[in-house]
Amino acid sequence: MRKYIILTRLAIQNALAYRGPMVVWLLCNILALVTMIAVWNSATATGLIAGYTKNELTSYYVASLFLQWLTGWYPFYWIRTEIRDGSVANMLTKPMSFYWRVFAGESGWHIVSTPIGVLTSVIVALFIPNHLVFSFGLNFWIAILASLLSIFVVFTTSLCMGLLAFWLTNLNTLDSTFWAAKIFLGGQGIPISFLPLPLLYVVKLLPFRYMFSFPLEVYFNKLSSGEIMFGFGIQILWIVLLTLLYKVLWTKGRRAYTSFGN
Amino acid sequence: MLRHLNVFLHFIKYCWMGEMEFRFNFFIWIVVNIIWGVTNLVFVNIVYSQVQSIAGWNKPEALILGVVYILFVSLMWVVILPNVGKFHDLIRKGEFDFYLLKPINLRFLVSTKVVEFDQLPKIILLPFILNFFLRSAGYSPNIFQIGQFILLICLGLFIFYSFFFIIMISNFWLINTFNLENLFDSLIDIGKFPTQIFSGLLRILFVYIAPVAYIATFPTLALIGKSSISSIIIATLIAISMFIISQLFWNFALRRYSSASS
Repeated sequence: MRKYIILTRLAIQNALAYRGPMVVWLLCNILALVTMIAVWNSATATGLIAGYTKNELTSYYVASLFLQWLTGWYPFYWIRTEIRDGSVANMLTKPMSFYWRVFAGESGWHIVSTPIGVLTSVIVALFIPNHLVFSFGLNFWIAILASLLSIFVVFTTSLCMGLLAFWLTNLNTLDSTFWAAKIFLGGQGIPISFLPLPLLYVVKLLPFRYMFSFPLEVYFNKLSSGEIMFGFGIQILWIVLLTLLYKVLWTKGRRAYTSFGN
Repeated sequence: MLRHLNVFLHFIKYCWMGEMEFRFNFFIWIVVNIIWGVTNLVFVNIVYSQVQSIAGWNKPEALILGVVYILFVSLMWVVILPNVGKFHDLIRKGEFDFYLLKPINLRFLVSTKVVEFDQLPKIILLPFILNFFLRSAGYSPNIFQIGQFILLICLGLFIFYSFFFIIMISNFWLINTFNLENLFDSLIDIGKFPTQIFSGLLRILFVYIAPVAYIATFPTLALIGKSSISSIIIATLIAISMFIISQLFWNFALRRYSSASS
């Protein structure tokens, strides 16, 4: 356990060294947030929009800003790079789990960035207090639990995607497809209640909803108790399946791996 | 001038040869790019299934706007974005030093060396799709309107080239900021919505300072006959000012450049 704590501490130092990229990402998130708030405020609709009031939609995007920083555990790029440039070989001789080593490495960034996400959401909220409908009752805490589980769904998916570099030289298209799916099927672009019904049934079984949308649906009280239980069941099922997939990929990948140099 | 053209033709040739080294990857990217484009139009459809209009734009107009947006982004990805997006690598790895030794205009070299072809099939298809949406919405632009549209697209590309070039130059100082490409994407993303969604200071910002209005809003207005000649005059003034500022900043940065490594 101690070694992972040390790795986390190193990752925090690393994250603090890369303040520039953090500011850029923050700026990107704020631009997207401001745009989406402007879009929904200028929309003309009769009644609810996909089950949300205008204020709920605005709140959805403010909460999204925080959620992106909390749950966006995406170590895909550095795993792909480590496998490509051979530095993953260093890991093969060390007495630690690859999964938890990557987790510790990724945690540093989120320990630093999540408070920044919270602060930014609060600052944005101060500008538009009349357009927000936040509450901190039971739903908030259930949503936090769902968000913590979301971390594992995103993290393990991206870990598995990165491990494909053992066999494939170019993973850019996979990366691009993942983001398209997360944005359109995972609720990061628009709430999934916008999707037409037959597609929505499929989306509720895919992992993307459990990476982003599910905690927000819980928080904004869009689900019944039964639907929340079902959601947690599917979320946990995906974590188990993806972890098993990770184990298979890591075991087979190490066998397939050949390193040059180093 | 002819020498530069000749060099650029050689860049095109070498980049094409590079693409053909990984043909499968090239064709996969073509498919992924088309899927991304279609997804954008599906997004418009989904949003308009829940609202009547956004900032006064109805669904047929929003679909035209969507196609113009995809066309603009695809054009940006042929030469402009691949070059400005990768500039930080040249600085970080010290490769920029080798560029300094070349007997050719340095700005021309860093702006045109990489040419990407995977957007070309989409660029060829999009005018037909645009024509289809225009006819479906009951618009039949005359030669003058089409000319105005093409001119605004060209001015928009020139404005964004200079604007992103200014941001890119910051990499001389912000060597660790590897994700400016994300900022470019975020700014371009705003262009998929009509600029009329913004009001007050934000409107001024997105029309004159970070002029996302020239990505799709103004060219679309030209096509549907709702544009005035003043938008072309303003676009020309912004394009000239941006280019002068970017050149002055480039000269300033070059005088202060000290190699990162090599």
